[in-house]
Amino acid sequence: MSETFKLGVAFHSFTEEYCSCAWSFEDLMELTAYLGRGVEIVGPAHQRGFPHLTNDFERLFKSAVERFELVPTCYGSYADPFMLPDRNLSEDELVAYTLPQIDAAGRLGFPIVRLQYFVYPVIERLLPLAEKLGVKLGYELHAPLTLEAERTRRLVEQVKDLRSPCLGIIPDCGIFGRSIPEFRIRAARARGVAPELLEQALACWKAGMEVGEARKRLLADGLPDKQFDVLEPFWGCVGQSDPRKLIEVMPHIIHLHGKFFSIVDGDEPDLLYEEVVTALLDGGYRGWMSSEFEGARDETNSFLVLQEHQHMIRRYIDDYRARA
Amino acid sequence: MSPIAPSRQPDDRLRQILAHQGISRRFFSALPARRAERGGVAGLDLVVRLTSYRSLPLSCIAGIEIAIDGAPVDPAGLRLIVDGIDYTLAELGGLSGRWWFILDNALLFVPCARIESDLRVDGTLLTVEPYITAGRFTFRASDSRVVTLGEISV
Repeated sequence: MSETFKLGVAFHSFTEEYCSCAWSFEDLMELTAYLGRGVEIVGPAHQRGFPHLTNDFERLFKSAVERFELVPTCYGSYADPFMLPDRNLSEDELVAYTLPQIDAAGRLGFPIVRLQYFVYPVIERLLPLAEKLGVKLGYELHAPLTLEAERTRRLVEQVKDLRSPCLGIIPDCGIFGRSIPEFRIRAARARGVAPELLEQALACWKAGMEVGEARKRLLADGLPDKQFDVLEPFWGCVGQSDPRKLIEVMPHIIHLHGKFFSIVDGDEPDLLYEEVVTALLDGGYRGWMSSEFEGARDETNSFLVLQEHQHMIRRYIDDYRARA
Repeated sequence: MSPIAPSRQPDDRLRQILAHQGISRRFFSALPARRAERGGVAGLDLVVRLTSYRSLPLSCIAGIEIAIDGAPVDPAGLRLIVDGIDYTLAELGGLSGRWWFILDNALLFVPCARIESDLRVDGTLLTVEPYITAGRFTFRASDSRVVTLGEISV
């Protein structure tokens, strides 16, 4: 594997077992020793005291890294611009909320911080701390931010313009979708979304309609507003990017989220993984991919499905080498 | 940078962790309810859990809807107790610096003057995931449970 990219785990994958207290944070760290050893945490999920770093969490994290021979790869920061009921966070508030997270990442030994795109207007106020700590900041390209999206174009343009060694992008493989995962469709049916409105939502997604527009149309056609939350993930989790476009932005990719929803007979049925792996290898990517499970939570042990995802990626790498 | 150690191979320790059992992630914990009096009002303290995947500032608790035996409870009388501090629902919107950690139980106080038989409690927690691209809208997590006379008389 050393000649290709490296595989680790996004701890978001463990949500079901972590939030149900089946696996403690230290259990997650230990499990990662079986899954490539790369650690990516979600700040507000795993770090008590978020957005600030407490001494207790620093000790807990660093001792587990040492005991289980792990490699901190990426810290999941959050912008949370809609946390107030009456207005969005101001630019000053975004900066004040994000700087402690970058500081926490640096102190915990993470070389990379995942950014949500909302900090785009204030990035030049975040970079000095990142540069001082030697931490790279990467905009996550998560659905609906496909590689073709206008917002993505602006983000990449900014990364190029600023020419900072500490700024890049982090594509999430959920943007390379071919279909909406079945468990999302089942959830919509279970919530009582009318069959014709569900079909319409799927058609809007397939046609590439933007989420706000789709919401307006669905509400106008009779979707109760309280049902929209079960349809939002169609747009919020699955995009329709062309994997070959990874090559164009490869110099700016500092990390990857290996998002997946299910593994069926060894493959991810809803995402174009073989094409993604081919593009990454063609482009010479050498960083980390954090396997990130975000599928049905009630049917699967997340450790086992993460193993399956990593087997799949290794198989595609082997196939690529066999073709070369 | 030192070389990365190869992944551990499956062993007894792995099987031990995978065998751990968890608790429900639903809004109502299975822990027993308790009779309580808050601000001179009699009622029940129910143990509740955050249904998100991450901790949230209290300003992202957009509401809690409760019905007892099918009758809606006035939300003005509900109180959420997080880290031992007691809040009315109306106060939560202003509390962006106070957090409900994802693994922590909270208490929900429901006014209920007389409890003479088992009660059916229906509840919905309304949360905002404060970064979802479509803007601030609420996610609804509904749950129900029966509070028995037996559990509250312990």
